[in-house]
Amino acid sequence: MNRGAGRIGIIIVLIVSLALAGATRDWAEHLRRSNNDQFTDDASASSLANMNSFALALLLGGLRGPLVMVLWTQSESLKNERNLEDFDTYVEWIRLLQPEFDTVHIFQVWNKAYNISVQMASLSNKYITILDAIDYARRVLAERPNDINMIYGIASIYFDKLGNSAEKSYYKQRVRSESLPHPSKQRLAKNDPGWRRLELDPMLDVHGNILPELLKPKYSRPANIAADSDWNDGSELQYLKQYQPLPYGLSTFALAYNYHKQAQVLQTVAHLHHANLSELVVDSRPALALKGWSEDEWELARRIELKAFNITAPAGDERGPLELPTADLAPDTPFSDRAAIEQAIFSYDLAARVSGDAIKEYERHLRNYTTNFTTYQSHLDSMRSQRPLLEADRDYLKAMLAPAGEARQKLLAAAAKEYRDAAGLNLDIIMHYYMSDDIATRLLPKGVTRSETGKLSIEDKLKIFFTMKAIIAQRGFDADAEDRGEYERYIQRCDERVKRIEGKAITSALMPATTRAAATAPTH
Amino acid sequence: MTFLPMLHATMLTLAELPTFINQHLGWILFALIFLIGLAFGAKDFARFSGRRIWAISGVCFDESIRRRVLWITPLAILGVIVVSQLQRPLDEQDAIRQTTKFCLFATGLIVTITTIILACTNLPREIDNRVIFTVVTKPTTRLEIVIGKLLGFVKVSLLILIIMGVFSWGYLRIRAWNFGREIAQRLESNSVPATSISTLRYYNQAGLLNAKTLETPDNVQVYAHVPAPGESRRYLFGGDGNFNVGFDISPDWIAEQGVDPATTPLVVVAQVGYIKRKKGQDVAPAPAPAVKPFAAATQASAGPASRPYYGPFIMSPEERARVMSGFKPVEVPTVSIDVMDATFYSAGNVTPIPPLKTFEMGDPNELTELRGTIDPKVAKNLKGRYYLRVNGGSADAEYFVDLNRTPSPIMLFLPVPAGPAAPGQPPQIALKPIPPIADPLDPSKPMGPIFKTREGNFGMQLRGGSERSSTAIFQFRNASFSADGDTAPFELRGGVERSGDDTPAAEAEQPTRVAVRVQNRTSGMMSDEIIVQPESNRTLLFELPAKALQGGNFDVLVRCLTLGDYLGVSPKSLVLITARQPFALNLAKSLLILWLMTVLVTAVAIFTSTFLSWPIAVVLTLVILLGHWGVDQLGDALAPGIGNQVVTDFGLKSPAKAEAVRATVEKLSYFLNFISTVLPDINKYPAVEDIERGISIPAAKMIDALAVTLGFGVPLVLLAYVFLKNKEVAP
Repeated sequence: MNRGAGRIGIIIVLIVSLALAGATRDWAEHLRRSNNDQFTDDASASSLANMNSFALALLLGGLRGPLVMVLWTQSESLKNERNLEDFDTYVEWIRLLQPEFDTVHIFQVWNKAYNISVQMASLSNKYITILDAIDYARRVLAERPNDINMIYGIASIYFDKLGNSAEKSYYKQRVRSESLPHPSKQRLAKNDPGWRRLELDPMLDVHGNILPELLKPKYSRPANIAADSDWNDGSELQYLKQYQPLPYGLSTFALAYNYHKQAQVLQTVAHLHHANLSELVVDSRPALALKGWSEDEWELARRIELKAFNITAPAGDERGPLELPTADLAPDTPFSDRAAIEQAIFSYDLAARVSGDAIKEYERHLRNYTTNFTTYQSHLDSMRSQRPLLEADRDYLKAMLAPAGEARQKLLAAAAKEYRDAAGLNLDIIMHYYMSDDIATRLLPKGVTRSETGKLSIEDKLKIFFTMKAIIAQRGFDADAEDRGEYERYIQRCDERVKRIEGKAITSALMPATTRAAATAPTH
Repeated sequence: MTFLPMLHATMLTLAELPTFINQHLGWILFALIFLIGLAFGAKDFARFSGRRIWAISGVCFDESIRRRVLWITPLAILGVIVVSQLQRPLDEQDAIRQTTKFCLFATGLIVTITTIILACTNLPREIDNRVIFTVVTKPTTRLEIVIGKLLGFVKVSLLILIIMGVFSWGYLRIRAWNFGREIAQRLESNSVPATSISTLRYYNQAGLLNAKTLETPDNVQVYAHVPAPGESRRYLFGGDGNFNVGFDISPDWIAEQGVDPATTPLVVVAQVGYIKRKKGQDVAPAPAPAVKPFAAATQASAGPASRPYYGPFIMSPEERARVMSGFKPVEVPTVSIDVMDATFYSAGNVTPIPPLKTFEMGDPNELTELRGTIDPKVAKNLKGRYYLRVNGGSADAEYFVDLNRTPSPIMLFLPVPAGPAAPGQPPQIALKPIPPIADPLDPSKPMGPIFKTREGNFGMQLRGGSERSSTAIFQFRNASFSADGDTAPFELRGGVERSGDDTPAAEAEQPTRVAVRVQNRTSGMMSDEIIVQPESNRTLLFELPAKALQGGNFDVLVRCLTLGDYLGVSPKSLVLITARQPFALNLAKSLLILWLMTVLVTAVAIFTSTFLSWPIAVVLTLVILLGHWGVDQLGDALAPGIGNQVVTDFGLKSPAKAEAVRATVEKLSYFLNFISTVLPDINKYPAVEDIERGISIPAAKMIDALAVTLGFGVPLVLLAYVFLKNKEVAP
């Protein structure tokens, strides 16, 4: 009799404990959500996504901790032994067993994208492994929506790994082509254990518009956010919507910008913080991504321009050597591929537009973090100077497509003006950053500092520039040659193009044609 | 005497046992226990009844079933299904591999835990609740009780293994069928990475569930060029390549020759030639080379034997004059000679006989005799198998040996006294040869030199491209292979390293390309080259014409084609699949190994439960089972010298304390090593590693498992009997 009563007591205590545990968990969740408003209010989706973690934890009971310890050791051993057969499975189990630990996920995303991908020999398998790192972050996001660490992690992979690694040419081309509509190579469902990612899913439709499911908002705008404030509506590619249509595919930097911007807004508006990085870093990344995107489109346009005029592109994957081979093309140069020119026009236009947006992003960031002003001042100047150059190149190509007549002349006139502006702004950069103090003191007019050369006329700037080059040539030592060379190439391009439009170069008033090319030619 | 000093004394006693006893302690204990068992139980052995044992085992079995032990199997099955849905395999075959591992891991885990709990708790419980009275009061012996219980629990574990085995087989069949369809679909839709195409084609045709029998090559040689039929020269690239000749060195033999190993160097004589080939030039037929005498060679090439000292960084006036006048000296190719241990790690080097400082080669296209010595400091420590390695030193030269003239191109000599020394003269010395190791296929001949290349992360590096790219020759001799089709399947697993510098952009985007051919040693037939595209450290399956394998004596020639890439290979990188067994048979073998393990686990558990309460018995059972494995895991931490390391780590300054700690730690590590030798090695039950890789489990592994089970199980059962016999279990 007593034994039966004891058992009933135990059962009652167990039931009460379970109910209490459920109630306290709900309370904790409520507290968490109320602190972070709408950005963590996606519990229904995350609960379903969490099922695997709960099932595994339930199955293992108290053995979860020791198992994770073993899995960590084994996965690291496998990595060091370069035996990756069980590695992904172990990492996935670690993820499922430690779903709440952001530092674990940050490490594993980085681990896969860098340490594991580098162990692959073929570029294709390296790329697949990097995409697997993005998938890992997405799986975490499915369980923990608006996790700033994972959003930043995805952005960082698109920016640093796919956009800036040694194999970037291959990766950038794959991302761009796979963002366009294409038949899937996979026949298996994504939830099938045999499924593995071989490519990116398409993100654009045939017209270059972002697929509707990627722009579907999840949250309505809260009332307590200022009207001019950014905020994340929960759609996947929210920050690329303003740039569509993108008929030639997405740049990896565009995707980086989209996720970096999401992370920055989560930090600014939802006051979420990255586990490892400072607020300053997270806040600066959208501007850097836009700069990267602009330069990527610029490079693409240059390559397409070369292709359209059947000019062999210089070897290597750097943008610098691409500036001059098409610089002296006359407006009536015959071309082989009209579609290529149209694509180049699109890319120049997009690059110019993104440069403008990058300036706004830098300015926003520098308003919040003035300490970064010195670091990003040169970025801002570069964006300001490249914008008219890209617009000029766009208009020049448009003029080449346009039939002879008034419209064409207008386009050429606009291009000439933009080239002059670009040349002036690039001269400003040279005088600001790449002129030694003693030469600056000697050459700059009284009352004009390095950062105020914008006040001068282009003729004055050119005079100073050529005198500076003559002095440097006399000295025989040029510490800034390499860095300055980039801007000298832009000036030379502008010079050549203006000469083709107006019959005389910007520099012709200052020196004879024979010495002009040599004087503006980049030192490197 | 209190416990701790007693333990210390025991440790010291055990640690001081003679080496012979230490080495054969397991067998000695086995014999002792067996004799004690016989002595104690002679009467009981005489009354041994199989029927009574069967009856006791039946009771144990029924009681276990009544305790619902089988309910654990659906739980384990559920666990396997859940976990296998959470795996992230590399491909379909990897998914099957991982699932097989999960199934067998779960099976092993539940069968072991169940057996330990049942067997450890049974006897103490029966004694506790006096159920044992009903047995011991009947005419059954304690031996029959012990063996009956062992048999009962072994039957339970067998039933669990059968249930889990049937589930594993069925579940894997279903998954393999599903994955097989997916492979077919992926191949059809061309959605397979280039590096996996040939592998998935193989699995598409052969199926994912089978057990392969593998033939490994007898040897691997890496040559600069594949030798033409009848050609006796073997080439290696300078800078990358080397060749090795093995010797078995016995200090006892050296001592027998009447020399002092501490002061006597060993003399090395190598005969090597070189050529300098222009880009794209083929290998010219070798003229019969004359061995250029050592003295003449050195005279011709080495210049003056000594030079005036010009300071550490100052050029000689002649060199300065030459450099200033734009003169480019003709560099004489050199080699270096090293002493390598049995695992090809450096054990020292060979120095040229003075006044020479380097091994400089003589005329090109001729063999040069190079002489050097192994310093006594190195030589005195050489014991067992060592290799002498000649490294091609100059990257612009190709070095060769001529196997017709010098079957063993390196010779090793021991200088021995040749007679009494004349007054005022140094003692006469004769060189006594130390023979190179014999060819395992023909012991009457010396084993030929082993050609290797530079070691990378994954083994010997085969440089890619068309210039200076070596060929690895995997030599199969007397391979038992019966072709049942036109092709023979091979597995290649090598590591790919990309230098990145030399790779042209177009090639960099493509997977590494490797050319494979097979040459029959009997018929001389050479197959067409096939190109495979391996991924680093992943198994690649491909097929070669079976006709070229006839007779079982053939070479597989592997060459990396991609410029800038290195394919790392080891002798096990390439294997031939000679036969395929049904998976069910392999699974049965794996379960048999698990069952043999549970027999041992039951014996240990029953043994511990005869003298301990059940919770302590469970702990001791685990300690006995995992003790050997645990000591293995400690690895180098128990190596001699660990005491000094601990003293250093603890920063002990007092000599007395330091010595006490050092000695205690050393003895403790010795004691642990000693204890591990008398505990069963559960690594001898490899139920998973072969089957998960689809390799047929060899009979030798099952015999090993059986030996451990019998070797430890029988003495433990006898000990359990002795303990139980002397235990008061009934009034």
